Amino acid sequence: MSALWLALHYPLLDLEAGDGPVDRPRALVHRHRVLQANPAARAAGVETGLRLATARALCEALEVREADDGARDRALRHQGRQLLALTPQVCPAPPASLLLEVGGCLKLFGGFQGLLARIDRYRLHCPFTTRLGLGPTPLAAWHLTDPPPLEGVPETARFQAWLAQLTLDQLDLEPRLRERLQAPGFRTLGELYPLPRPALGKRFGAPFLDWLQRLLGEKPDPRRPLAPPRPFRRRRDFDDPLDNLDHLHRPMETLLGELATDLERHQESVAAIRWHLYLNNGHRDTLVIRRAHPGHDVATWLDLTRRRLEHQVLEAPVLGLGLDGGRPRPRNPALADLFPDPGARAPLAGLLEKLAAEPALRLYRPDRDPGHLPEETERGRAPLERPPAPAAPPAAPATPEDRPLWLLDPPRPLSVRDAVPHWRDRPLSLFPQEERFSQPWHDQAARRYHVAHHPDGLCCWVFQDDRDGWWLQGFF
Amino acid sequence: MSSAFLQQLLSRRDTWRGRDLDGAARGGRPTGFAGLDRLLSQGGWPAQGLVELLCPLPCPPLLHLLLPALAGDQPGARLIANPPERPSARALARAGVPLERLLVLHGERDGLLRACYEAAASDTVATLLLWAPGGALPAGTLRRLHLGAQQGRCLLVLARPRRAARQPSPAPLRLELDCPAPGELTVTVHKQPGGRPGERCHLSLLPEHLRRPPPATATLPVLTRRPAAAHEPTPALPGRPAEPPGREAPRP
Repeated sequence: MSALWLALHYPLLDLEAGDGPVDRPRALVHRHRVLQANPAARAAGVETGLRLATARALCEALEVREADDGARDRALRHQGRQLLALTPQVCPAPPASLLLEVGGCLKLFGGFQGLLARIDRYRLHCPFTTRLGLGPTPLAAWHLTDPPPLEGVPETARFQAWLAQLTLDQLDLEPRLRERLQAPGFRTLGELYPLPRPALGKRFGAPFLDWLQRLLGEKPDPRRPLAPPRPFRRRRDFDDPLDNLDHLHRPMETLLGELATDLERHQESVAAIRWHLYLNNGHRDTLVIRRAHPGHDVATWLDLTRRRLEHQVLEAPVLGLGLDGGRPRPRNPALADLFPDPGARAPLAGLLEKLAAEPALRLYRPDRDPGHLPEETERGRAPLERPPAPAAPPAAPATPEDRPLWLLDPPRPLSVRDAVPHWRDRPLSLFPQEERFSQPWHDQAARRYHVAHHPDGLCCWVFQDDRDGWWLQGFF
Repeated sequence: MSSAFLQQLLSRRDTWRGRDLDGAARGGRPTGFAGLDRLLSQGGWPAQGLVELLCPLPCPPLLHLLLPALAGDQPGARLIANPPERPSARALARAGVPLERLLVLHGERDGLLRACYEAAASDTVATLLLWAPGGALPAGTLRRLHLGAQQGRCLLVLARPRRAARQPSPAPLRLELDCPAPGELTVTVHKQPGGRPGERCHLSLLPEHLRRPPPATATLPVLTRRPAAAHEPTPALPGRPAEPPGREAPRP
């Protein structure tokens, strides 16, 4: 697989950045001189370098624009992001070109012809005038515009021959350097090929030699690819306010589809998304949907969203719907088993996500906590929380005490009759063994625990505090 | 009655067959109690499907009965739904229940039943222990739970009040629990495929020193310190408003 670069030039990007190509004559003007003119203006005789007054005299309806670098760069970046669907290596080449490394994705698109078909489709739908370039290096692709119809990837020698035919005027060189090259009588790039490289460097400067070697592929030409836009955030406003939550499903599906496309493009997934419902009364409801593992599929997100929506009460009609994509993480698909174990169960994550998405349910994972009082040794972890490392030291077996299976939190007070604690109006019979738990310093009260039998056939764990109150703490 | 008609009757899905010869007649999950294993015709809990335990609610020893089913390293999660109190993670961990695969679920009635059906049918949960929420449980709901549990290879244990014994139920196995003494449990078969109702066994769930009744002297005023004054203030836990000790929370 050899490198193959595509160049997409947007020659009239400055003129078209705002609203695309127009039929009206239009010119870009800087300091009262015409810098660029669109085809309609050129047909009327407006040319680069004309004074503005002359241009206006030639073409009455001429629309004059000032250069707006910001708008041009934004338009270029936007096009670059669209092209990220083809290859991750999209490098902007200011002022108005994009360079795409496509050698690595030829197979994906079914070879060179398939790729060109994709490019043609893109150019057909692109709102700007485009020109295509092709070459083995970024600089060569930049220079070799409008390639002839090709069957397959041309070999390197053919590219070299095309480059050799380029005249010096066509090269992207500074005017002074071009004059210095033309002075000894060079006309085309090919005439420079046979010359010894060190001599060229000595005569025309190291930067030129470096440029030439990068153009011919004798030296690497690293480029910084376009960073994908982050984070994903979309908003959709409705013409008519929606007062039925069921009507939100379709726009949600569309937005999730956009999110999935975006994630697919970057091979990423997200663990949580956020829906914003913009209400008619100016408020904004936010629904957070979480998953156990980062995911990118529309169906699961939509299912979880629907479950969450079922419990949502609308205070006012919905004017707009927003989706925040959360923090994307690189996708790291697990290896699938070729021969799955017949006894294996479906992963727990799917069920957890579904149950956690229902706000009416309380789901927790019981876990131990290094507390002192019995009710402090318990804690419930959130279901989607990442489980801790399994290397937790087993501290509990060191104390072979009897601990009840059920804990009442908070403890329930017991009635006392004849100095005997009663529960459900029946007396408890206490074991004499006593276990003490001192409370925190600010309470200064020790608890004295006893095991007790209840006539209903229960084995209880009760304690007496310092003020002689009896409490039921648990059942064995 | 012709044999064809009999076959037709037998092939109906809602015909309950007392002795299921073709299905998993044996090969149940061991319960962890030899007496109970002998009592059950499958030699243990059924591998999947609905099991009803009729007990005086809330029945704290019920969880003891199912600890061996929750413990072990078989694949699949364990779900405890709608428990009357908080199961102690420390005690569960000591009994060998893998805490990382244990979930506790609370919710109001309809959402809870739906979530339990979903969990049972998801092929994720190996054992689901559900305390029946208040209100009547129609046979259709129970049947749905049973089918869901069969589909998801889940042992769904439903704890219901004893008065539900009079209602018919689609659960193939119904057991009645009774706590005659602390730490002891009597299991009576109410309905069982391939078994006879009325058979019973006694199980002891707690270690000996907890089951033994405390010495008679220990009902003791000796232990309980005399109140210093007659008008003793009501006990109050830190951070909690004082409650009159006579008014305990009513238990369902």
